[in-house]
Amino acid sequence: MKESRVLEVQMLSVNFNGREGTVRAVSDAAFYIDAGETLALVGESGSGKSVTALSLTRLIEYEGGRIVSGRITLRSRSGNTIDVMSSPLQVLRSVRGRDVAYIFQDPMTSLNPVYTIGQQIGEAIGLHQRKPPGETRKLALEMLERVRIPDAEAQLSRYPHQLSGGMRQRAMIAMALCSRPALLVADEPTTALDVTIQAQILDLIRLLQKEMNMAVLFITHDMGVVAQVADRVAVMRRGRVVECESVETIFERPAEAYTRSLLDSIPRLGSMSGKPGPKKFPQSRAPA
Amino acid sequence: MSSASGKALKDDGKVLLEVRNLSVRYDVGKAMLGKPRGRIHAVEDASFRINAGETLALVGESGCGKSTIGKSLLGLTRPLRGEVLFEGKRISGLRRTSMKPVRRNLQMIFQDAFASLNPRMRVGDAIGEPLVIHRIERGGSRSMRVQALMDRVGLESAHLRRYPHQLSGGQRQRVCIARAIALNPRLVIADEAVSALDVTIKSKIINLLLDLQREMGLAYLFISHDMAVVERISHRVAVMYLGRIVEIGSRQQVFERPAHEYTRKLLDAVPVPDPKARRPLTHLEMQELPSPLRPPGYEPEPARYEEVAPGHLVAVNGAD
Repeated sequence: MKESRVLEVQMLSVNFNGREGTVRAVSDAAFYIDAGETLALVGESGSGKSVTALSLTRLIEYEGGRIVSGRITLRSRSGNTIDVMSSPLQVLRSVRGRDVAYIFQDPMTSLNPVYTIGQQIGEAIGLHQRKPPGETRKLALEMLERVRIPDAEAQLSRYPHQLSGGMRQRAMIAMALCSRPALLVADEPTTALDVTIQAQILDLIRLLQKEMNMAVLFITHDMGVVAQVADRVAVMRRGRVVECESVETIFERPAEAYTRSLLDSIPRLGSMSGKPGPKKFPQSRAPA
Repeated sequence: MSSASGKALKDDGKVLLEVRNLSVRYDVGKAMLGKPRGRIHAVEDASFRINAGETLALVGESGCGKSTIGKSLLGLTRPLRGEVLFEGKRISGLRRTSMKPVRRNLQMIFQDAFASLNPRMRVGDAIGEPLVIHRIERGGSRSMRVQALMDRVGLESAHLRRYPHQLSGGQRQRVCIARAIALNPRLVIADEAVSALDVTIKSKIINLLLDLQREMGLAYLFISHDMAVVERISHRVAVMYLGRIVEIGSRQQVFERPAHEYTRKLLDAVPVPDPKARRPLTHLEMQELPSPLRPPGYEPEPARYEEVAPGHLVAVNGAD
């Protein structure tokens, strides 16, 4: 694997066994991410984005998924490469949360309601780094300050329900980044947030990524968000990566009809300027 | 500076709905028989009108009061003050029975189509239900009307006997739309009606709503947080912040010449789908929406507006 590469996925296929037979959720997916780079994984509901994300550390196996083929290679901060498919559980456990961290759409389901924010960040620190309690608290505080939560000291002793949605997502980011992961997987992290809060969280992720030279896999269905954060884009449809190109190419010269139809259907702010009445979307020919 | 209040909203002859000085407040932390600890000022002194065949979009972030306005119009929540006039008649405070004939002309679509539909009712029956309730047509002519409605919203005959769980999200929203238009209403309140849909489905449903508007002369109150969708669909736009309408005007006025600071902030935060127009990192400091919770006796001052252009009103107070 190339020196700069943090993640390389080759021919990944994931099956789910259901009552009505086997469903292939991901089919021969292949992509890579370099250090400091953001790859956006886009597609509509059910296209296999989240399954792909959870497969990277084999967490999908706890959700009933089976990785039937493929090769997943990670590079940790120390430079070691990890072959995910052949790693024993013990290794995977230390990879999850340390080398690869996740943040999800709904921070409320990821945070434990009966522990304070400080305890939860402390737990995340304790899992991967051995530190005396005073150090842990100091690091937790530093992380909250890094995600720009005001009055961080006071927030350490508050419970998740006492925080707003935007603050909870910041706390989640603090937890995810306390072990300086090589790869951050952000699965629709701003989808449930209001636009003004979304803008803040997107900027925060971009800033911390730069500071930590972190690779980011950013999963979203929002092409506006893609244009704001991505270096490269992988478009998924029905479990397949149909196109993977630089963000400029995807927006200016998409090769696939499906990518074009996705782009055609986004409402673009400002596209209506000069027109007095409402206007229909151009309907593309591509099958949905 | 010309100051204008609710009465400055001029009547130009085809006003379908008029809302005057509407306020809705909810008591919070009320102990049994006790006094409330505070009040959520969900809607504060909101006034606007909707003309026949026109779409007014109500935009704003969570908790700004946009859905509460929708609910007050339907009589689902009781306003503290203000009145709602529909086709010139006062409908706020009407009892259920007197509200029923109004409902023929005033329908609604919500975000979660699955929650709106009865899981044990087949699509055909769900679409026919409004006709049954309002005793319109019967027997064969009723089923023909159901069939026509299904055609109109892009559902196939095969869907007639299906249950909601057997449909996709987009199809379920089409069923809700068919129910809403079954009685040939004049106004449909669409509360985040396309927000939960995938982009390609979303654009199709928006196109359907626009087609129906043209064919049936429908007016919409389109409640949404999505500025880009609102720009597509609306004739006029009202921006809400902390229960107040802070700016109202034609779509072009609000989007191309936003006059209120909050409107500009909202527009600026929308991610632009163009990688060449990537924003520098400017939104780093945490800024939260203030709470609409007020102490029990709190009386805010009435909304005052400045008319910056004909029909373009901007709040000059109240954004505290």
